[in-house]
Amino acid sequence: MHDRTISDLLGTAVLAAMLTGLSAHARIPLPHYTVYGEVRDAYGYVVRDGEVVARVNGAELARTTVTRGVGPAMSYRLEIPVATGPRDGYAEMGDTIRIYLVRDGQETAVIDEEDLPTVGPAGSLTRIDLALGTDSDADGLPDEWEQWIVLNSQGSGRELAGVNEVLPTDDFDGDGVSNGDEFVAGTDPAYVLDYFRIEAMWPGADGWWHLELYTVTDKTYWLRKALPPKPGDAYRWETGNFALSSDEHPLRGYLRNDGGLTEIRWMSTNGVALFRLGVE
Amino acid sequence: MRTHVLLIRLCLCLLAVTARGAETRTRQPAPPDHAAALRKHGLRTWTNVAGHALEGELVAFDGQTVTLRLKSGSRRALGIDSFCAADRDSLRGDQSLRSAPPAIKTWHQHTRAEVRRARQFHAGGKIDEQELARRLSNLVRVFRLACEQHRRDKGSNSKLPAEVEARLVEQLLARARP
Repeated sequence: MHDRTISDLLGTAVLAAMLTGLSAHARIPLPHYTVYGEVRDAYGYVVRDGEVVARVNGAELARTTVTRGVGPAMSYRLEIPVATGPRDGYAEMGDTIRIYLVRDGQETAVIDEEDLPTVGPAGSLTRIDLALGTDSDADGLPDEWEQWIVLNSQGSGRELAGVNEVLPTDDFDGDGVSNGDEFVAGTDPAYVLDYFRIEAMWPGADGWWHLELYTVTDKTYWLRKALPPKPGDAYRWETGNFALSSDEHPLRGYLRNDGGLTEIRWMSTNGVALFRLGVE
Repeated sequence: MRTHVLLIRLCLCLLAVTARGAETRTRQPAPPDHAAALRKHGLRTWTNVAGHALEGELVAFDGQTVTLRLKSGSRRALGIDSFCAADRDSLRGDQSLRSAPPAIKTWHQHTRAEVRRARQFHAGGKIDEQELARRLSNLVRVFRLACEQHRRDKGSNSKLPAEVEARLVEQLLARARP
């Protein structure tokens, strides 16, 4: 009996020692850390092909196909495995993530070294929109996009020698909107008739307000509304919901379509209200 | 008996560890995305010079022979000249675009988008016929300048033959037509 108890105790001790050892060295997998967003080319168009790859400490930890339909304004989603400590095939919180885009067999780093993101808490999500292209003059405008202005300048009488001469604050085509703002709006910075503007706005007999604008593919438009503030207070802008047709309830908070002349409408309010249309 | 109890415990423990390792370290390779492949090549209707329609998915095109996978699953190889003009243009244009350098592909995509936008301006009454023609002509001019510059920058390493550029310009003009 005594002999048996000792043996049992010994067995339990060995098991306990093994489990203790395991818990000391095991790196417990945690829920993924998710990075998602859109991939845009140097002209601001959403890229819909290729693959996005995430590498941590040189190892590929996640890969996904760039495609439509991942979610609203989302064309990729990377789920990076996370563990509590160093473990093959897993990242740790705080590790640097390098993100690459693979297209036509070519792999391109899409985030500059100084802007590399790090792994966040397990189970959390971070939006990172990826932009292709280079910005050799560090003015926030991709060289490829600036090259569009440079080439358009040829033969125009206002020749620009290179992308360094394209400045975000300049207005190359003289339409009243700066190059930088045209980049954001997706309009042509070298065509005087193309800039972000409301083409027409009118009150309908049905109690709705209507406006028309030429949207740009892949750009997101929003309407904000504010009531006149009390003296000394700032405007408080809120989402102004709208509809695209008389069949719809005005529940849309943003618009993204495939471009073209688009009408949006919203219900009139009693009294005075201010509305602001934006693009991003 | 005592030894057996201990062994069973050890075995259970090892099995648990092994199973855990298998669960967390082994990754099943992702199944091939057939839907994406189908979208890329596209099941569509093709028309021959006689006007007969044929539904199939483009599998290969080498410039002369077009290989289609029919709905039945069988493959059929057809000469490019047996297709109608629109399909020939589409195939050759696509092939030109595939063989163009990435920078030119992107430039072409951007120009196509601007052509489309010009047509939207015209359809919406923002610009008239004359302005549309002027705009399209300028877009093609700038695209040609981009091709010239690409050849200048790359020199003998340029992978943009004149015939590919010509095909790409043709594609732009085709999109510009009403």
